Amino acid sequence: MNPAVTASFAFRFQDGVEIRLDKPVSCEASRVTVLFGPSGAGKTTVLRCLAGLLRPHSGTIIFGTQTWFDASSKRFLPARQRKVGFVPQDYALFPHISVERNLAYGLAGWRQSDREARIAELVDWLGLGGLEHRLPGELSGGQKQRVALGRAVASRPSLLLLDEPLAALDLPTRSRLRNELRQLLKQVDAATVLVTHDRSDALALADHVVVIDNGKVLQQGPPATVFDRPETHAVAGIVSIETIQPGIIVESGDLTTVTVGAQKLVAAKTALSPGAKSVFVCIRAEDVLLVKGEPPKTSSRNSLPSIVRDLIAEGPMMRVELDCGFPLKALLTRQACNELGLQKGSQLLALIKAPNVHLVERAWPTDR
Amino acid sequence: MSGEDWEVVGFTVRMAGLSTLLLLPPGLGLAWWLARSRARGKVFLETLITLPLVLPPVVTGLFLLRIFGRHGLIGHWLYSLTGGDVVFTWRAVVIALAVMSLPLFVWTARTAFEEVNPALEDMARTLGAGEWRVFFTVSLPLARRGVLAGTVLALARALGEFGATIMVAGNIPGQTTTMSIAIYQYVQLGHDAPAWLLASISAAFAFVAVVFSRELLRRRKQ
Repeated sequence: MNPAVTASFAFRFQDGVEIRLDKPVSCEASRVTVLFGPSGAGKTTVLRCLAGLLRPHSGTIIFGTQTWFDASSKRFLPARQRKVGFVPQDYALFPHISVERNLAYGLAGWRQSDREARIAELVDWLGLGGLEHRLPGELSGGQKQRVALGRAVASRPSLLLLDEPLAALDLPTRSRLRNELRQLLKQVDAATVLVTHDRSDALALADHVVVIDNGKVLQQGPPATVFDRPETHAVAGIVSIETIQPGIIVESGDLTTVTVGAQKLVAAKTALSPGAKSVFVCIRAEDVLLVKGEPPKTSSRNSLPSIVRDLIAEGPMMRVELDCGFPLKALLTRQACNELGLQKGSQLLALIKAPNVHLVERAWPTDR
Repeated sequence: MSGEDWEVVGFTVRMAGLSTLLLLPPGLGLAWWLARSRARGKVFLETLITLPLVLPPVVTGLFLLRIFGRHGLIGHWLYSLTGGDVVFTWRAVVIALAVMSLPLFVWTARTAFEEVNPALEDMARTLGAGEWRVFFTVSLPLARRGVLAGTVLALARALGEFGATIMVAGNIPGQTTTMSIAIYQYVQLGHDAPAWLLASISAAFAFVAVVFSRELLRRRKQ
């Protein structure tokens, strides 16, 4: 079992901008901590500090029993000695050497037979057979990502850092590779810290989410908690006000049926890996339609009897918090609210079209 | 062309080659350091290296004469070490050529190093590479075209040097006479034909060097 990393530090740029990990953030072995926040929030800086490429001005970074950085004792272990696995945003593959030599770069001190065996193992694991002698410029985006991941984990580091590993990819490739990356990360016995500004990435990959903005930690916890119950307005603004609930797939064909608590929902076919069971069900508040009185004939696949729990004014809009067996959020105009005569306790139907029920595979099917 | 003239050409090529080899290690170090460092002393060092490019070569030569003379800063030390003089020998030729072509090399190589993505060097560090390994396996291979172009330009500059060389090494036939000095001497004595022959060899060298380095720099941009 690899040790865990715990960090709490501040880094100041020359222009005075400060990035603070003011609450300790930690990551255990074989788990994925996601640093989530808008671009420019300081996520990459945190990652570079963890890697030893930047030196913070205060705080500590402790890895197991090793002190990597301690401002008070002026201890700073440079990147070369930390040997973390690092996958930067543009992958930074060495353009002048082959895939094979990229993979081998971190294995300089190994015996040649061990090195060859490890590379063969990586090529096999990542499905890079036949590409060993290509230059990085001749690879597709997905292949580059796998080479970068392979190079980072080659020497079996106990901390793996990934900076927006999916951002360089186009949308269809992205959702496919998200699942692929999830499978690969499961097999790596390292503590993983991953940076992203994409909610689907965070939901799919995280065991633990840390929300960062303006160089500060705003909230951290399990993904379902952070995304569904943001503690502050700032966090709510960053994660947006969607309904996010864990669900189980019970039937998949042209449409996918998923249970959330006691409720059943129908979702349109999405890019899920075959055999996927455990998912997050995501519904945007503006996609929820409310109907009062007799159930009308409707094209909507999902019609859920609901009770209004709370009404929150947001400018010209009204956020309606419903209970339909699980907490559901709807966004209406105030005018519509008045016409429906909504108040706490009102009973009505919530309609959601199947394509508006988004399913994101969960990081780890078993709740750990 | 006489055998003596051919000897002058051979001598000049040897001296220029030697001086280029001599300037490579410090030149690479300086180019790399100037490309990556944010130290305060940078401007000072940058200016010092660039001076020979702007100063009259004769003035640079005068400085070198002073420094490498038997009572000079370095010359004194070298004399006590080897018991031999530097000035007015072939060694002075090599030193003069190296100092005069250093700025051209450093400026070209430095630009090449600046174009190497620092993220790649950082990547190598996280993979356990020390600074020497980073330099030789990432920075230098990626800057190779610019470095090679700088080397060619430095060599061309050394082949044609006149002012600094004649100040520190003089004009001792068979010992310190280079092509440019021989041309000057021929013209002074009214021997136009051998002067023109040497001049065309010199022009040919320069032509090849410029075409070659241009090609290297052009392909790097693609």
